[in-house]
Amino acid sequence: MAVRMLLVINKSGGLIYHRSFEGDVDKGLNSNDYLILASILHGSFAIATQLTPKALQLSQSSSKNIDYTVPYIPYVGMPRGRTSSERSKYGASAPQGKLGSFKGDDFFKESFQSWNRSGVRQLCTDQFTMYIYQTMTGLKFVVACSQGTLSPANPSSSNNIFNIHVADNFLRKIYCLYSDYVMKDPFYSLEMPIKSTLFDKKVKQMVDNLV
Amino acid sequence: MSAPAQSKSLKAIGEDTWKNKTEKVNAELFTLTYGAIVSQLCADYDRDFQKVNNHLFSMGYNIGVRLVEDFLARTALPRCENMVKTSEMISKCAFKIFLNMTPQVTNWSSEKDAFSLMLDENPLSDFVELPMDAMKQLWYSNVLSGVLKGALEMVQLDCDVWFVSDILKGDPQTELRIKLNKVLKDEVPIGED
Amino acid sequence: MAIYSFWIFDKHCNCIFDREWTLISNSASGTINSKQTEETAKLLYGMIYSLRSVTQKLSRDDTANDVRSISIGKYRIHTYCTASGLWFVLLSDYKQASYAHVLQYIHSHIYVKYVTHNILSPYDFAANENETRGQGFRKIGNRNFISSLEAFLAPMIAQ
Repeated sequence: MAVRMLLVINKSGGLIYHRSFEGDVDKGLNSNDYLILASILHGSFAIATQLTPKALQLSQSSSKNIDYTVPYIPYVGMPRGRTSSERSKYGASAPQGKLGSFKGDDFFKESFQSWNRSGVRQLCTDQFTMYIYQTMTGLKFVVACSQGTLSPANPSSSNNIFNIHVADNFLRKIYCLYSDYVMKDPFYSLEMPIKSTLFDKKVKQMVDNLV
Repeated sequence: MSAPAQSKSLKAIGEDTWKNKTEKVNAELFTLTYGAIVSQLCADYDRDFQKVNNHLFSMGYNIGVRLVEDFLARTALPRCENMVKTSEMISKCAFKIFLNMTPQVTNWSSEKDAFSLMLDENPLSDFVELPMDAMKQLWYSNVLSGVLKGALEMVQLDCDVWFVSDILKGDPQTELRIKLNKVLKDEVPIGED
Repeated sequence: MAIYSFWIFDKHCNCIFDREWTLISNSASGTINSKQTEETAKLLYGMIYSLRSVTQKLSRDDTANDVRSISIGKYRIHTYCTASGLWFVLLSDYKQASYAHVLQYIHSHIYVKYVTHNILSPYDFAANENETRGQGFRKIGNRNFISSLEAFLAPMIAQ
């Protein structure tokens, strides 16, 4: 249920952000290893698009409308205590404060289409589950969570489509944070590593809210 | 569950996002800031308005390549199949969300790869009157053409964007023309069919 | 519930068996060990290999961290890797969460029984040095193996 790691990969496959959230540091994974990791993920993502099985190709070409909608799952990564009674406990100001340039209590409130149609979406291993969200501009957000799920409501199987949807919601919010704190930083050069303390802070807040 | 773009029209998405989902800033402050930029540029370039136009365009380009991420994160709209859809999305969603205006889409070319946006109101040039020497050469809102070019390039559409006419120059209306050169097929992110 | 294809890879990076069902829910359709699937086999092997190396790098406490499944687009790849270097790979849709028990059964009851315990069938499908590192071409042709595999998987495809 806990987020272990977040990676952001630019459209050429270079790593521009990586962050570990676990207390224990991974044994000797230096920044070079992370770069290699990012490019392997980028490459496998590309290979995956060519592996669609024949049966699926045949059925897809016949039916034109395939549903790639990701439903909106409320308050993923948003602070708890949304009811009025709990809010009065915290006082008048919401614990999170404003969401940058997004008005309201959540970044978005409707379901959306996934831009990731034939690339890798989820990778389940013994110890963790990794989710990938790709934007229309080629940016990839990768999150690895320790075994269990992203949602506390489903502890049994981590191989559920629901978990992929929760991850998509979460990573889209990280994308919103990126569009605010990284894109609007005039001193940030495109495609370069992200060095923004505001972005780090907001990401940590959102990850903490997820547990 | 039907796709959101079908169940809710682009116009409604634009309106809803502008009204309820974006923090706003004072319009006069915005107009004054932009005016200060243009006048300072004119002073810096010694009133060589061609250079000022180019500089405004490159400023707009840098804004556009970043602004598109904000637009995509905020709306998560699917890729447009053709230029008609793109033009609608630009005028009904993008302009609405960022500038609270909806320019009209007209003057389609025969191959449907070029169109014009008629801006009936322009928040950048509220209260502005150009001096005589600027009126002949300066495209005051040229930053908008740069923004559109940069943003479209990030979604793999190589376009030319330029102003055809401007009210500030004495023309009857402000017209911005967008022409698609080509779709950058090899840059489309892998995984989108 | 649909199963799209089934593959076995050995420790020499060769695909030693593949079965593809080309029509959904039709267990009689498709190909066995066809030449056309060689490209796909290589891509599949490469992708699983890279993702396995990623996950092994990210494992902690030195406990084994093996890839269980990869979800891509509208299908899912399930893998079962044995310590002897054999990989059993199944491509399916999203309906069933895990095929680990299926793959384990195929390994322990079908592969071991008909291939490993069969003295007359090679246990190592690379006959010489030239057939290692992905250059091999020998496949499992054992009729008993194929028929019991079909019998085992057919009910799952037809559902």
